[in-house]
Amino acid sequence: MNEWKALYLKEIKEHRTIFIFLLALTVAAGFVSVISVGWNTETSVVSSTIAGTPSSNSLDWSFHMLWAVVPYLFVFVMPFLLTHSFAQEMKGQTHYLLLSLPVSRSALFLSKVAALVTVAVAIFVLATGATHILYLRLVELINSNLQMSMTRVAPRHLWLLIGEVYFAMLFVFLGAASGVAGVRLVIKRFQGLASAVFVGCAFYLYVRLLPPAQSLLGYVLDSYRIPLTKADSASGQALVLLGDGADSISSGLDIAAYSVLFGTALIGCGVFLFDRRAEA
Amino acid sequence: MIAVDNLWKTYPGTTALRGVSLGVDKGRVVGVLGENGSGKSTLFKVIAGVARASEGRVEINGLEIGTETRRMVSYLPEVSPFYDWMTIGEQLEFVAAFYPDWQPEKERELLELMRLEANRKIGVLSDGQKARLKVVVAFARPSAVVLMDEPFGRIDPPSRRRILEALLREYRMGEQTILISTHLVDEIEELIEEVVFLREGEIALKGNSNELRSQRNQSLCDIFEEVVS
Repeated sequence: MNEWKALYLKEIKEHRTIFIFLLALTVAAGFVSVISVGWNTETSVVSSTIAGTPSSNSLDWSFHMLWAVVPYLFVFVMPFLLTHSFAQEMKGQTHYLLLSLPVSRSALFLSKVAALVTVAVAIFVLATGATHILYLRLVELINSNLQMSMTRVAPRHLWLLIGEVYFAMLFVFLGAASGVAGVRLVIKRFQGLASAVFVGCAFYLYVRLLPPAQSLLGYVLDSYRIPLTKADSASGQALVLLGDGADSISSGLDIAAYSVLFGTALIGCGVFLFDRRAEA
Repeated sequence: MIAVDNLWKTYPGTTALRGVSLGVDKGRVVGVLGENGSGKSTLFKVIAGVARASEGRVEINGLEIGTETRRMVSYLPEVSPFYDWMTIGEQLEFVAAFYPDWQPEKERELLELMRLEANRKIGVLSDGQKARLKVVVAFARPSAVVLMDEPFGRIDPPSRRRILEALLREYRMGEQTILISTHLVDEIEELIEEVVFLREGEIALKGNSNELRSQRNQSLCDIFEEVVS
């Protein structure tokens, strides 16, 4: 346990600058997105109030909303951080030390993945916290200014919906990067080409296996649907944002679970190859 | 203690070791001597468990190379394997986490002997200071086997002297097995009990260093010149 902790903390400390940068950017983006949204009485839309008065340009609303989306894009950075971490060990010749330690190769590999997952979770919590506040503000602004009942999902389901997409992508991307790290240990020539072929094959496999996995996992998970609620039952009007008039929407848990499992299998491939082929 | 049997190691395009076989008893100090590219470092890497044998067997105390044997071995590679962003203290703390037999008292003593400060960043250390830090890592615990790959390479004479002093002081005679590879044969000639000369991945000569010296009436340095060249 002590060994795992030491490896994990080493990974966190080693990449602390980039991790702190990503987390700071997440907080800043969330803050900007939350404080910038207001109601424009001239155009009757939610608008930016970042300059103190509501903007007359309704596009500003969309622009500032984008800040809430930015942190989720960091999920694309994670696979690059993983491959960069392996490359740094080789470049700095610190792999001599790591590989000589009395710990399994899997632990060395998984500690890197665990560190990245931790940061990804922190980004998700901060970003979705901001999105949660932003969402409640939007609902409140629309409902109070248009005197209407907006059909919406409960905030906890907002977390679920965003989390599904975010972690599905995170695990698939980390899996692809893990596989690439393993492939690079096996194939010494044309490594770029081999990596591209691996990623292509992984993507193809992901798409091919999606329908059977969906039908298999759907039995268990698709029965859970997310109910749509109305904020103000006093009003007769309803603005249905999602579900085309339906009172619930698919949770999408089957696709998310499949993606996480697929990504975990790819991480397993990376661990397997690292365990057997990593050497100084 | 260490048994190497018909060890082959191939890399793409080259064969580093060609059927090396040797046995090292517990508590011996063995010099592994040879020119650059003779396979010394590869032999050490395989014994340390950081590289895999392509063919053949390597055992330490009857155990195949793996996590258990890595616990018994202190491996000092030729390169600096330390993290530049860590301080000396952080690096030692990181390594200590993997060895329950790590002795903090011995660590402090060795840091003093090697004239290293725990709060200094590794990135700013000279090659000599990094080599001295490797000695601290190697001897801060009572490991059964110490593998020192070119411990005197590219370092200044004072650092070399300090490392040698530490080696003589910390070596637990009869208990610790040391394999040391170097070009600077004369520096450790008196320390070596057994010697293995490698040439192009094969053992060219091996034996007890005193016996070889008296049989040939030459110093190890001269034998090295003759056998290896």
